[in-house]
Amino acid sequence: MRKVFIVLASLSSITALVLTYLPMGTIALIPVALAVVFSLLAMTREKEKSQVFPKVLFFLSVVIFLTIIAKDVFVEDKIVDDQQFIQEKQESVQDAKILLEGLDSVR
Amino acid sequence: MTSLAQVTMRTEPVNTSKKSYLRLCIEVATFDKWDSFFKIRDLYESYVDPITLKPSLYKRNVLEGGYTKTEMYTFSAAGTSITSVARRMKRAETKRSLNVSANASDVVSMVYKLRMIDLSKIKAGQSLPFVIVFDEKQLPVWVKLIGNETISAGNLGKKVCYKLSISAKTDKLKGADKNLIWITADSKRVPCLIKFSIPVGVGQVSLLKATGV
Repeated sequence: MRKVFIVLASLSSITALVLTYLPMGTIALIPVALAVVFSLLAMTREKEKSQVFPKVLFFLSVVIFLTIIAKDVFVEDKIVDDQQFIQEKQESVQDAKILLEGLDSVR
Repeated sequence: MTSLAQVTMRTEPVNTSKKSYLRLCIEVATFDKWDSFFKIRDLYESYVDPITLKPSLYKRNVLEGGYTKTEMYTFSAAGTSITSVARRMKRAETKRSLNVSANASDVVSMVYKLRMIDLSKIKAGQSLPFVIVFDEKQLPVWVKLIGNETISAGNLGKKVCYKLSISAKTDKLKGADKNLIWITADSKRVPCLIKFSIPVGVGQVSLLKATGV
């Protein structure tokens, strides 16, 4: 059972790491919570065996948790000044004016 | 939940040598954290009569990930026919003529028409019919008043809003009363919150800032 919990904690940690890298916001808290639970469960089973790896997984989960919270609190959502998009918008208005002039003349 | 994009609604006057128009514009741009994964740059424009909001020209320019689509509708003077020019991805441009109802509008001008209606005269449960042209198809749309709710409205603070449900006979909108819009129950009728359910999932658009209204 201990091995199962270690495997589940490892998979949850990897998923959390990937989701933390991706711009998925607080969704990554779900695998983090699972990783914490599974690593704690692994630590409570067969205590005579080495607890190093479950402890590493637990520590890693805590670090990921703090990273997710820090990203959510401190990283501001912003849009870049996309010059191509700005130009497309300006050109679109100019094209529209020409088209509207054409429409006005046939109405 | 994660924030995906910023939606900007903007209006400005556009003048030709003979007439004045109002340009109604909706822009959608992903936040920079998403640009590397799924970049969205959508531009929806409607050039309408400033008084009646009757559209003369509608333009749609969509970039969503690798998908691109452009559409342009020119409305006849009577508003009963539309000439559509569309291009999807790198395919050849298509040109079509469509006969539509005289009250047909595009999706952008419909949003603004909705803001022109005095919803205080509408009873809860009552539906208002609209006709829009979207994806080169005429589409009946119903807007039902559900009731009033007080919600957070960005820089406007807490506001009493009309909660409206939007439904249409299309596979692009899912579920009953799952496509909702909250509009302030005052003379400004600012859209504060939009919740939508589409085939790929659910989403929400929340007002951050409203200026010049």
